[in-house]
Formats: sequence, C-alpha cells, structure tokens
Amino acid sequence: MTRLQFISVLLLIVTYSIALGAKLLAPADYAVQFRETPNQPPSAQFLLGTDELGRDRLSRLFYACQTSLLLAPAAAALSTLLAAIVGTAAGYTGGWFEKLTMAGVDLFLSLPWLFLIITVRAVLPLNVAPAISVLVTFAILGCLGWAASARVVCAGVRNLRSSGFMLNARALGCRRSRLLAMQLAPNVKPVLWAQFLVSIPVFVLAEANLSMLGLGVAEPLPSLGGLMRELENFSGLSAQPWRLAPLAVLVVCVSAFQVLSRGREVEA
Amino acid sequence: MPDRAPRLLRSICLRLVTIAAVVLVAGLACATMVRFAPGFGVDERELDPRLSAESIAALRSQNAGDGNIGHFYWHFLAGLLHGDLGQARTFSQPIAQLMKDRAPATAQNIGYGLALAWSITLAAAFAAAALQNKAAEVLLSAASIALLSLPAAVVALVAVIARKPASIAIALALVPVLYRYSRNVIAKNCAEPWIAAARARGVSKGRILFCHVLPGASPQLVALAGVSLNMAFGAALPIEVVADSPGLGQLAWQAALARDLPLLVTVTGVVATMTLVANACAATVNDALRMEHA
Amino acid sequence: MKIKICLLLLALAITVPGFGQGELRFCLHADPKTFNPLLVDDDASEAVRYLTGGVLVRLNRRTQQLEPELATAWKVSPDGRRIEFTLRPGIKFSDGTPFGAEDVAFTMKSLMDPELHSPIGDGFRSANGDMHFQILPKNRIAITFPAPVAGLDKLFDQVSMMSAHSPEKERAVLGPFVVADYKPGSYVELKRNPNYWKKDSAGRHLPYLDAVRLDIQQNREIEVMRFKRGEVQLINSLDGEYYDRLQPQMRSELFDSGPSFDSEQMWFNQSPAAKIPEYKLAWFRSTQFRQAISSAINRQDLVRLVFNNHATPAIGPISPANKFWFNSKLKPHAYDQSAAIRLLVKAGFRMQGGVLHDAQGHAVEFSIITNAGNQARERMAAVIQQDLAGIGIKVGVVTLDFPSLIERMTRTFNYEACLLGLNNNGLDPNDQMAVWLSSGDNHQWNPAQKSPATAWEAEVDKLMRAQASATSATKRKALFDKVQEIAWEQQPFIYLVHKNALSAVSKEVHGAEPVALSPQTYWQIEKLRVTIERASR
Repeated sequence: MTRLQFISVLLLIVTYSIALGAKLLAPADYAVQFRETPNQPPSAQFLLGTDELGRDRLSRLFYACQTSLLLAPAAAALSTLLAAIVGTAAGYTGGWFEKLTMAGVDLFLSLPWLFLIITVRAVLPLNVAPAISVLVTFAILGCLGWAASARVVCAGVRNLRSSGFMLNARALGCRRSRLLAMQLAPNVKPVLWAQFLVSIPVFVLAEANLSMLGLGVAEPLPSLGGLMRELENFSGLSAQPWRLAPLAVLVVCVSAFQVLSRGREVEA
Repeated sequence: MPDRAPRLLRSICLRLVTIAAVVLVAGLACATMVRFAPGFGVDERELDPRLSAESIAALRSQNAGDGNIGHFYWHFLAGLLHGDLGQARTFSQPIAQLMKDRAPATAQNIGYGLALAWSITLAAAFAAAALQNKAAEVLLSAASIALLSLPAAVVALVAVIARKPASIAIALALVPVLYRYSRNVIAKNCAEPWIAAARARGVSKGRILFCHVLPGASPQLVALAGVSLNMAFGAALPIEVVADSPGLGQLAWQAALARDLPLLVTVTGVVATMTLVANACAATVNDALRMEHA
Repeated sequence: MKIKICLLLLALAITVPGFGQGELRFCLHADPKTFNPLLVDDDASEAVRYLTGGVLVRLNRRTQQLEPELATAWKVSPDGRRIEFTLRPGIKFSDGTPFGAEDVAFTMKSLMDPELHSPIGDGFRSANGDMHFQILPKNRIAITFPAPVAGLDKLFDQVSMMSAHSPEKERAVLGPFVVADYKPGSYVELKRNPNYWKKDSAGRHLPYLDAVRLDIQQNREIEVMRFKRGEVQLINSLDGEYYDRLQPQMRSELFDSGPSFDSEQMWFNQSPAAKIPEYKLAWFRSTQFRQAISSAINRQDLVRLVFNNHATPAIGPISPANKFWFNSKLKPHAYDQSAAIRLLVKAGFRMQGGVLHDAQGHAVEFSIITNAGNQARERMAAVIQQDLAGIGIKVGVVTLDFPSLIERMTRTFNYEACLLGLNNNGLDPNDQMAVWLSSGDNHQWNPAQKSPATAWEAEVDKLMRAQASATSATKRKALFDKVQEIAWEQQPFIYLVHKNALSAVSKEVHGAEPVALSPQTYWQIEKLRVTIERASR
C-alpha cells in the first residue's frame, strides 16, 4: 500500500465515522433553526457558520454525509451489480444475444427516465416518511444507472473471452461456472470498480436534482446534493468560502475512492 | 480477402436497421412515459384568474388533444414521413424550426468541447507516456482524479463564473474520463514486448510512440471516440441548462418541464439517432481495423 | 484631411460620454410565448408587448392613474356599458399605415373573438352578447358592451392596438419599438419605431433609445453577474438575497420600491373531491383550525429570514401597494402560538405529549406541496414547518415540478396544503373574480362549486357580483372591502407576505423611476437614456 492509499483509507475512515456517528458528533440537530443568528460566518459556536434559516452548517454537513455517503455508494453498487450481470451475460455469450442486449442498452440510454421518476412520486403518498422517500430515490437511481456501465463491462468481457488465458483454461476443460468465477471475475473487477467510483458523485448530484422533482431528500433532512444546491448562488461564494464545504467533502471522498481504485488497477 | 467489402457492407446495413428499430421503439416508449406522467396536459395559464371558465375549459380540451398514445404516434410518424414534425405546444412554433434554431448551439458546444477534450487528453496521455516521469505522472493523475470527482453541474457553474462558454465545461467534464482510459490503453501498448525491442534497438521515443504505440492503441481509441460523443451529449444537457446555452439540451429540459409530447419525442429521437450512429461508426471503423489486422 | 476630421470627430464621439442613441439591455427569463399582443399571458411576451404596443390609455405606474396615449380623451357612460374615445389624429403604425377608429374596432373584435381565449378579452366579458361600435365624427369611437364592465377604462391599458389594414398584420405596431430580430433561446432585438408619435417637451422625437436588446436568460444568478459586469442595465425584479449582496458595491443602483402586488400564501384543500381522509378534511374546513395555523406562523421571521427584510407581512389579498383597493382598516395577523393553541382547544383539538390530536384522537400532521426550484418558497416551507412544530403539528414538505403541482391542484385534488404565490398584474379586484367566486376555477381551496359550500362563500359571491356591476368606484370599494374582511376572518388563503419590489438600474441609464407595479424599471421606456460610454467595472 502506498502512502497515498494509506491517506485515502484514513480519510474514508474518518468521513464514514463522522457519517455514522453524526448523531453523537453533531453540535446541533440538523433541523433546529437558530433564528436570531442566520447567515453567520464560522465562529466558536458554529464552526462552519449558519445557513439562511440559522441552522448549523456543520451539523447539517454531518447528517448530509450520513444520507449521501451511505446511500450514494449503495446505489452505485446496485447499478454496478446490474451492469455486471447484464454486461457479463452479453459479453460472455456474444453473438446475437450480445447484439440484442446492446440494442436494449442503447434504447434504455435514450429514454427520458425523468418521467418515470415523476410518475413514481405521484404513486407514493405525500406523507411518506423522509427516510423512505430517500431510500426509494436512491433505489431508483441505482436501477436506472446501469446501462452505460453495462456497455463498458460487455466490451471488457468480450475482450477477455478471446484472451489467451481464457482459451487455455477452456482448452484444459475448465467448467463454465469455474471459468466465470476464477478467471473472468478477477479480470472484470477493475472495470467494475472504476464504474462504481465514477457513479458515486453522479448519484450524489442526481439525488439533489431529484429533490427538485419532489422525490429527493425532503426538508429539513440534509443531503450533500441538497447542500450543494446552494452553490447555485455563486456570486456570494468568494465572500463565504465555507459554503464550499459540502463540495470539498464530496471531492475528497470520491478522490480517496479513486486513489484506492487506481491501486487496484496497478495490481491487476 | 475478396469478401471483406460485402461483409463490411452487410454489417453496416444490419447496424442501420438496428438503429432505426431502436429509435422507433425509443420514440414510442418516450411518448408513453410522457403521456402517463403526472402533469401531462396541464397548462400554467390555467392559474390565470383573468381567464373565464370557458377559456380554461378550452385550454384543457386543447391540451388533452393528443391523449391517445397510439393515435398520436401514428400521426407523428406519418407527419415525419412528409417531413413535418408538427407544432411544439409550448413554444407555438413548428418543431422543425425549433430544432433548426437550437441544433447549431449544441453542435458547437459538443464539437468544440470534444475537440478540446481530445486535444488535452491526447497531449496529456502522450506526454505522460513519453516523459516516463514519475512526478508528471502523479500530477496528471491527481488532476484527473480531482476533475473526475467534480459533478458536471459544478464544472458548468465554474465555467459560467469564469465567463467561459459551455463547450469548455463539456471538455472539462470529458477530459478526466478520456484521459483515464486512453492513458491505460497507451500504457498497456507501451508494455508490449515489441516496444521494448524497439527501444532496445535505439529507436527514438517519438518514433516509437507514433509508429508503434499509436497504431496498436488506435482501435480502442476509436471506440472511445464513439463513446465520447455519447458522453458529450450526456454532459451537454445539464451544462446547457446551468450555463443558459440555447441548445438542444436546454430545449429538451424546457420541453420536459412543459410535458411537450411531440417536441420531446422528436428530441429523444434525434439524440438517440446521434448516439447510436456514433456508436455504430466507431464499431464499424473498429471492425474494419480489426479485419485489416487479421 | 476630411477623413482625418471625421476620424477625430468619431474618436470624440466615442470618448465623450453622451446621451441617447444607445441600446438598452436587460434580461427576459424565458422565450416570449407569443408576439400576438392579444394572446399575451406570460411575463416575457408581456414585456415585448409593453415595449412595442400602443394603447389608447396608459396606467401611470407611479400614480396608478390613467393617462391619455392614443386617445386624447375618454368617457365611460354612467351605466358602465359604453366607453367613448377621442383618438389622437395623425398617428401612423410602424409600417406607415394610418391609425384610426376602424383599427380600434378591429382590435376589439379580434380580442373578443370567443375562439381566441385571450385573458385580456375575458376581462371585458361581463355577459354574453355582442359589442357595438359607433364610429363618430371628429376621430371618435364609442364601444358599447352587452352589460356593465367594472373598471372598464383601466382594462384598455392592456389592449395594444392592431392595424385593420396593414399587410404586416400584428408586426405593425404603435409603440416606441418594433421587433427587429428574434433568436429563440438567445435574444429579442427591438429597434426604434420611426413613426412613433410621442415627442419630448423640446420637440424631439421619442424614444431616446435606438434599440432595446432583451437577452433570454433563465438563470437569475447569471443575470445578476451580467448586471455587475455592465452587460445588462436593468433588473426588473431582484431577490432580496441578491439585493443585499450587491448593496455594498452598488448602493446607488438598487431600488426597494416597497411591497409589490404579488402575494405568497398557503391554503388547505377543502374540496369534496380531495383524496384525503375525511377527518383531515374536517380540520381544513374548520375556520378555527385555519385561524390557529395562521397565528402560529411567524410572518416576521419569514420576512427576515427568507426575504432578508425585503418583504412585508401580508394581511389579505390586496397588497398595501394597491393604493385604492387596499383595505387599510384590517389589522395585521398577530403571531401568537398560545392563542393558536387556545383556538385549537376551543375547536376540540387537544395537546398530548407535545403532539396535537383532534377530537377522535388522530395526531395532527399534514404535508405542504410547493413548486420545486424556488428557493424562497422552499425556505418559507421550512420556517412554517418549524413554527407549526411549536404547536405540536408535524408538517412534511414536498416540492413538485410545476405541471405535477398544477395537476394536483386542479385535477386530482390529491394534496393537503399548498404554498404558492399569486402574481397580481392588475389593480382591479375584477381580475380576481375567478379566485373569489365559489364557482371559479381559481377558487383554489375548493374550486368550481355548484353552489357555495359555506355561508361566508355565498356572501363573498354576492359581494363580488355586486362590485362587478356597480359603477361608482366608491361603492365598489366598499363592497370589496367587505370581501377583504371576510377573507381576513375566514382565511381560506393564509396570506403570508408580499415580497418587496426590488430592482436594479445601472448608472448608465438615466430617467428611470423604479416602482412596484410591473414593468417596474422601464414603465416610461420612451424617456430612458443610456450613456454611450460603458463604465468600466
């Protein structure tokens, strides 16, 4: 393990501990509005200042990590899993099945799924608990995000299928299940890992966009994407750089994941 | 090989048929989704208290007009065959005109964006391969990692603040992904035994790179080029919306918010066609290259 | 030599700051949906109409009084059915076609075409039947309506005259500018109308400006940024947050014109078609419940936290900016949570472990829907959520995209409470007819009733109808004051705040007097000037 990877692991451990222990660590509840002190700069009481409604930014950031950094990777894992299944099946089988599947992927990629999401919101009751609505959101994201990755996985598997060691293994009479598990899987892993990482920030932000359609994280529950929507008001950012904290957390976390994944690539 | 040309032709034909089929199904699926999404057939004007009950009733019946999806799609396709895409409901303009007005902006955004992204990517990837310098490598990787972790919408915001056009944002969103793949491809090709042999014989660095590494890497780079067009399209939608660039991405977003059925079906069809054709082109070029090698 | 002198003059013209002949730039927030002045129903088209259209009479945006334009004089008959205009002689459309009584008749006929469904036309439609035109000598025309039309003369402020004969149809205009170019998604370019009739006191042809460029810019943030850079010179409506952010650097270019005509309000769904449990419907129909909610919401905090003090707590449907129609006898709704709880207890609710329960023991909780993408409204919802938690009510907030929201409000009635704003473009209560009549489609809390559901709604119906057919302004005012009192008491709409009309006018623009009424900054467009030299920032 290189030094950089060590630092990355450390960073991830710290962020995830904060995310999991938000309840213990946060100085205030995420919803409490200190109405007498809105828009405060960082101070001893509010380490990252307060937002427009006087809510403690640091506490909101901790809770946002909880929702986003736990659920976005989960959604990314779900979509990568789907991509792995579809991509491997298509790439390994080849022939017309692969062509058909890839046509399906193209079809899937070109559809405006936004409307499905809007329809899901209409089906869910308005009074649904915030936690459930968040779970549904990330589940949908996970189910919709697989197509682009499936294409990449399929290409990777196709190349592997005709590679020397696979031919060797097959010639030696290796069973299909064993072939998949022992030969193919370790070689597809780096591709999957890369796809998994690339999709985390995409999902974090997608959730924020969905909250604008009524299906994201509802007020007052914070999420990283939701906090980052504040960046839309960029003209005040230079005067209040602490508003960039959610973005910084996201970039640091995803970068740490990336560093770890590069290490794996080198090993592979 | 005498049968190479017909084989290529057949594969191209097959691809075209697939594309047509996928686009047709995509159009129908899009129309169905929009039709059954909540908010279809409503109009903001219904909230105008100045309108009389009759006018509101008229608005509603007018908007509910294309309610039957099969009927709508049949008429839409029939119109398409005559070169008439119909009228956009929200913009009260012919769709063909709207597409014609908006396409140049997107073409420009994507064109410049891709050109810039590929120039940066190839320059960086070759520099990294040619320099063989650990520090430079780490620096480039770090930059690409950081960029990769930034969401596209944030990149677009940065471009807006810096008064840079949307194409720069698209390029910045593509570069890290492209760099990552092309760097791997080139590194893999550099590790081939014949490169080591060439190096041992004292062939110059540039010659190795351009005469030996590049040809080996080209099929994968071409495939990546095809995919990059798709990625550029994907990035263009949020970036155009954030940066207020009057292209197809922005049009699609407005059409979606207004549930403009014919306009959405058209935009979906156009985007699907473009991405599928780009993929198919890349695949065909790849096939041709592979056959050449064979 | 000659060339040298020309160059010298040119150089002087460029460096010396001068007036006039300039181009004014500002932003529209969407593409204009129509260039037909009679069909205008969105802000962008409205702006184009205001800048290009010529009207018979114009409402002075500051005094809120009518002033002569294409008509030099007008008279409404005592029964309110007939209006007679004396037209200004010698006026020509932008293409040179002369303007006369025939054009007025043509415009009104087109406007009142029942197939057109124009919101402006619907304002004139007090009863079924045809209008009659009488073209009189000395450039006069009389229009007779089938029934009295309340506030008849003021309605003409919205009617841009069209030419009956011009081959250019709606492109021939009488206003200060003509549409020269339109690039969808990018800009609308307006050029000076060479035939515009108005002159200044020195006899100079108006408008002073050569051109107006309307950039289509959806993103308000970019609009503010471009204003700071001097790329656009006006911002018609500015958010409080931006106002405060610009304040330190450009204090002299920002204007707070006091409360605007728009209101922000929330209401409960009382429709019998509502897809909500019967016991919740019973809460929402209870006057005391609505009053309690109203007094549990801290409007002052809304003003301070959400609008950075650039708003005014709302009392009723009419903003205090509306000088004539506002009922000044109404008291502000007091913020008093213990009074709210007392009211709720009186209505049969009870507190149990910090949670409010109704008489049958249901915990009181409901969801508020509002439109997505509007940060102010989302923050208002968060403040309300917190306030109502103070009286033991759990509130969920759901943001929906606009079409979904409208569908729930007007078709499925699948919502409990809604938070939304109402844009009041007109001054007259008649513009709110569809809101207050129980049969109205915009009677949002319980729209399109066959017969009034409650006694007070029946009373409001009666008062609204009476004010619409009354012809004396003072009598109408007395009747509508009563409507405002009932609305204050019953709170079908819980009025929260009126945003202040904030605007920005660059130093380069001279002659602007921002007001609360739309179009806030350019209502006297023909008198605006722009200094040629761009100030460097």
